[in-house]
Amino acid sequence: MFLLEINNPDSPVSLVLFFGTVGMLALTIGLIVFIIFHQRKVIRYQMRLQRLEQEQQKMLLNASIRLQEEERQRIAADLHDDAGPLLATARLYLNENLVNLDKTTQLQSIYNAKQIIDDTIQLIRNISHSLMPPTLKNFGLESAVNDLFQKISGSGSMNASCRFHDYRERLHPDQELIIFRVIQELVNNILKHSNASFIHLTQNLGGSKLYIRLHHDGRGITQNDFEKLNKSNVGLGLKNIQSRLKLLQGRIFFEKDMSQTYYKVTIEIPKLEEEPAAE
Amino acid sequence: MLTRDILANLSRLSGILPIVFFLIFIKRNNEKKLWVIFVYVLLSFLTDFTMSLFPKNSQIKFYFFSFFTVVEYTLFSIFLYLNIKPGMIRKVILGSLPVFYAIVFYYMLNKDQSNNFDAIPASVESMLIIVFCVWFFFEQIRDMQVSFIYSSKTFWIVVAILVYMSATFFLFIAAEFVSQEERRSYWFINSISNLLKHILLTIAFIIPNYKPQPTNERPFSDELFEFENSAT
Repeated sequence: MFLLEINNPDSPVSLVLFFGTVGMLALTIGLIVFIIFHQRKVIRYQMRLQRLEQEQQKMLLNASIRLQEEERQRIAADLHDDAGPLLATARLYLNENLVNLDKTTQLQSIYNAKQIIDDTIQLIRNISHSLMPPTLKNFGLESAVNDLFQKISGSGSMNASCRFHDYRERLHPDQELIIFRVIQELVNNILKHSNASFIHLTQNLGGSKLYIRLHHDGRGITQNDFEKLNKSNVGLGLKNIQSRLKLLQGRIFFEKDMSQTYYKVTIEIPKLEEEPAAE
Repeated sequence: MLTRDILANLSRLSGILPIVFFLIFIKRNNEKKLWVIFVYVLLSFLTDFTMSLFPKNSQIKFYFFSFFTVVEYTLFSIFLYLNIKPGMIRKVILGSLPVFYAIVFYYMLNKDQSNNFDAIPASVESMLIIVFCVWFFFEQIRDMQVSFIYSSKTFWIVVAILVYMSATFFLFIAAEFVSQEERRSYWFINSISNLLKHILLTIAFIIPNYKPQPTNERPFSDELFEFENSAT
């Protein structure tokens, strides 16, 4: 009825009014519907991001648990396969002392037992050093990395060098340990997979951030590969690096050099200002 | 004619709905911005009834319409001012108030009041309020919250205002060019939009209170994705 009245052909106003009002209402409803749907889309996207993040966190946690278990198994194997037999042998020599009363044989067996105990001490020291390098604890990251690189170079398999440009103030010991472990993991990966002939490490400071860059001339990975490996079930070591760096709120970036000859890995770590340096 | 009268009365009576529901759910509606809308609804209801008491061609109606336009614009502006983030548009809302009052005053003094309706100020009001409402929605899109927008009272109130203003915009413009008799024949548009507005405001007063969760307090961080961005 209203429509018939408003569509009165005698009045041009009625047509303008009719179409104007309908048009305005259509625009308004369109705007409201658009906002609701757009917001739903944004929320769905945010939820998907959240789910991805949770999956990533779960993967990192699994990786760190598995790595911890592997480390424990390695220590257990070292103790069981090396220290255990050595101590058992030493015990045998000392037992022989109780049975054999000949002075010369006794001295020989004591000497043998002492040799074996010395070897065991050395072995346990090695295990303990692998858990917490003494150089790192006493002299800091620079010396520990220097030590590590000298050992690699000393083995003759690869030319390894490092240069710390600005490391006058030591980081917090916990930070140093985490960074050292990350460097160790990266170097291990390079040694295992890259077939490189050299590794070079450079340290620098940029504002309140510490940068460490590793160069090598072997086979490497780029950031895309790193992200793919991080999201997959393989690449335990890389996930471990990621979770360690997350603790420091640091970042890592894998790339190929401009010349396409070298691979570069850059680590960025914010310095903790309020934490005192190691004593 | 009868249908039109029923519609007009229904529109007038529907004004009581938001008032009653506001008072029933006063605990969840006890916010400054909602009180602004409550005052508006109350005044609108009283004005509608007072207007119906005057004879059809009474000159006083013009002053009533003008007074109500001023009150409506002021209250809607305050409501939108309270809901829009600080910035340029807030200043525009504040600045528009004296300009709008001047327009209304000018039309009260200089315009032919035989038509009994302040068409130009009402059209200007509709236009400005529509712009502010659109800006409010633009802000909502720009700064998305985690919860759904329609769980917020403010959303329903702005929708009510926007629907009412858009539906009556052309009617108010047309009122300037048509006779009183013709205007009355189109007035059902105002009745329908008024009815819609009251229903939407009632929904706003009924739904539970909602506190938006800002995006920066979400239970997850975007750190990994920032990292992803920096990689490209």
